[in-house]
Amino acid sequence: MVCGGLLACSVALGAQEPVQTNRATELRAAPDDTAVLIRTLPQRTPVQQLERKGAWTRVKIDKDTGWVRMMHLRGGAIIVESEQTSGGSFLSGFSRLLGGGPAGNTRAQSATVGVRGFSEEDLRKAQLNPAELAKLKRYQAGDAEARRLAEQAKLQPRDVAYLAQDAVDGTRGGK
Amino acid sequence: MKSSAIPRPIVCATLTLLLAACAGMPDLKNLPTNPAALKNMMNQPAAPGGQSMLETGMNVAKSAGNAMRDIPESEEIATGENIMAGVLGAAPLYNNERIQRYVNQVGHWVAMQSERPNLPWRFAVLDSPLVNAGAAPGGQIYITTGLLFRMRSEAELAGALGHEIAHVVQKHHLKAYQKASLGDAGVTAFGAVVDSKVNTGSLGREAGKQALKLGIGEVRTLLLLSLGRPEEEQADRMGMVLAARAGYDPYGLPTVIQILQDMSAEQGSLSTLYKTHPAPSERLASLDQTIGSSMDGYSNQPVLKERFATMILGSAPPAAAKKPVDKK
Repeated sequence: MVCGGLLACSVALGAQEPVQTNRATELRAAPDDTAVLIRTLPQRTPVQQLERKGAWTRVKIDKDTGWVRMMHLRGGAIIVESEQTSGGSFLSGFSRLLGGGPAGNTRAQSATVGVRGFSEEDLRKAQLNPAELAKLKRYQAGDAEARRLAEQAKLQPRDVAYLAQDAVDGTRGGK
Repeated sequence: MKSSAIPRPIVCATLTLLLAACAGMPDLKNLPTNPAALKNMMNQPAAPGGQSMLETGMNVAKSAGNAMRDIPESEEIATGENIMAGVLGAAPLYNNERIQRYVNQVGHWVAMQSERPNLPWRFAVLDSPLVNAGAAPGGQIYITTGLLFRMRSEAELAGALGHEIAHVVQKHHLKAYQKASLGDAGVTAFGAVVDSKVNTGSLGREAGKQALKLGIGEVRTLLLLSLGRPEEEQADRMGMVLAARAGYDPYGLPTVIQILQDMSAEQGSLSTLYKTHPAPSERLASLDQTIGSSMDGYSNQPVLKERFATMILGSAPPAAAKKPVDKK
């Protein structure tokens, strides 16, 4: 139930800010800086998001449809995702954990969810928990397990350099 | 909103947060640092035959401007485990072995692509509805279910963990702990504790025995240290690169930042947070300016949405959504 999921999501996230450009940017015919320029969009142009593809998001504005760089947009991560996964297993899981289809207690739940660290109170009360630390150590993965996980999904290690200002001494690890 | 807090960079939340999270925590000055206890502590030798913390703090202060001591890896790891034990005291592990192992494997795979592949990398999934992630020295990393269950792909997870791995690779927290003993009076003593224990080697010697040498008060204080904007932005850039190295679409991390952006829009009460930490929109703008199109070539790499859904979202409902109805 896509609608149920979407509804639950947007309720849980509170009033959804309209998706808009966070800077002046270009609307292009394809997800590529060299693609045909459809039009330029000033900062804070509201758009409708349709699809994500790597660095680019396909959007609709007025009668135009085209691609803008994803980092030039703010808001709407959830909507984009829902569209991409419509009917997929992800959506049912996601909406379920946000309180399920019936808006039920999503409101109460969203009140406890915030972009914040552990509360001061949590930290005041925190005690060292060596038992949990020992448990965590048991979950630690080894190189072989990690490689297997990567191989299962055909993840290919790549040589990618950090930007110059982030250079780190040392050799990067095994592939 | 009460605001007795003096805005200062050091006071925010937990280790560092992917989220720039670290809520406006107005009263942190009151933490365990009451003056009498502080004074008492500072005059106690930190180790048998060692200097008092006050002396150590002063010595550290004297050496300000000089290069900070290189802390041996074993001591760094022991310190990080201490901190993680404190984090686990604030929120326990999420009780699902499959998810814990999956997140550890993804994190380990990303960490293998770093310059510190041989650290004891551990990735704790904490049972907490708070949206958060963080790192401690030596390879200790955590992510809350509140954040994990808002993600939609393995590439997003890899990017978020990559951000935290970058903090460890750059020793951001370790350096912050050392610096802490130079500035803010409230944390001077505790910074000195760490530094003196590190100096006397008491942390390092105990590393192999898994001893927790920092007291809870010290750990609590270190939990409150946060990193600066340059460190967060560096971790964003490096997190994208690490995800790309590991074979993922590097745009998972900026997607997570966008999720935070959506959330922060509803959180008017978070305005104080953004006085000390970069807002998600500023982080995206900074990434856009620095990374530019340099990662475009890797943006067709897998995001692994289905595996993520199977491993994470196909499992039992998280604590964040726990309801009586869910009991089976």
